[in-house]
Amino acid sequence: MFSKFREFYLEFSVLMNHFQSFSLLFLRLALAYGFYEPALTKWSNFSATVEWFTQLGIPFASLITFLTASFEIVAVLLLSLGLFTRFISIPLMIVMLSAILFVHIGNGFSVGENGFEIPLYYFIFLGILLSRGAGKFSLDFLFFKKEK
Amino acid sequence: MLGKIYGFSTNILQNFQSISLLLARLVVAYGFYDPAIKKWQDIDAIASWFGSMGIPLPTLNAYMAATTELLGVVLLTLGLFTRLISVPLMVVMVVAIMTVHLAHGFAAGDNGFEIPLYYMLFLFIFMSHGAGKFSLDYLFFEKEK
Repeated sequence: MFSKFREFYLEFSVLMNHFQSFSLLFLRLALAYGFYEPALTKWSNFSATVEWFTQLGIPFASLITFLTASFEIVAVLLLSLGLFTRFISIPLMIVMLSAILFVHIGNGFSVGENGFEIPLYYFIFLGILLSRGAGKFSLDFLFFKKEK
Repeated sequence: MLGKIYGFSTNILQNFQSISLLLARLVVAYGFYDPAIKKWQDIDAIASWFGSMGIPLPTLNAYMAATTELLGVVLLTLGLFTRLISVPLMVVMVVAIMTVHLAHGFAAGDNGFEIPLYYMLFLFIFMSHGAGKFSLDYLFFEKEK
């Protein structure tokens, strides 16, 4: 009985493995969309963002604002294309971790109370992209993996 | 040159595949815990809520959703039958998006479909990638491969 089920589960796994690149593509597009608005908001209200970062006690607020806004806008492009996916994931994970620590941690988990739920999801999503790469539907695959 | 750096860092970063899947599983299990408990505490209220949204067979569906979610909490935590349980959980998320969240747009702050969409992405990743090494699935199904 168990060996039959085991066979079925392995069979199912092999079938589902074909969807790996699709899941990574959807993930990348969702994250690119998710970073689009925060990136634009930071660029269009740059000085207000610097002031807000200063209030939060973030050191070198203008530099950090510039870096964060740059990473976020570059991320929209790179995650959509699947280019340098693993590399861009690292600064974005740092941005998410900082968002959790400086903004959300005092509000608990739930998104309804402005908790750290969504930045935590993003952090884990980026961890998956960091460790898995962008999948087949990406420029990374074209440039770096095809010949392997 | 860049290709070399990319290949080199890829080899290192691949070691984090299972830990990222473990983290994701635990977070999604935690996310399903509250809704599952809430459904079991007052299943009749959930059934009439489902009925009011035009879901057919509301009592049966309330029990099915509540059972799937509770099973999801246990199985995702253990990493047992991860790929299989992801399928009905994705169905629950699709139904939640269509019946509850779609009319409110995207943003989570407006009760939009942002969070159930993120859950679908997690579950789709579990379905296609499995549970990783830190799981009972690995112990039972993949170890000797």
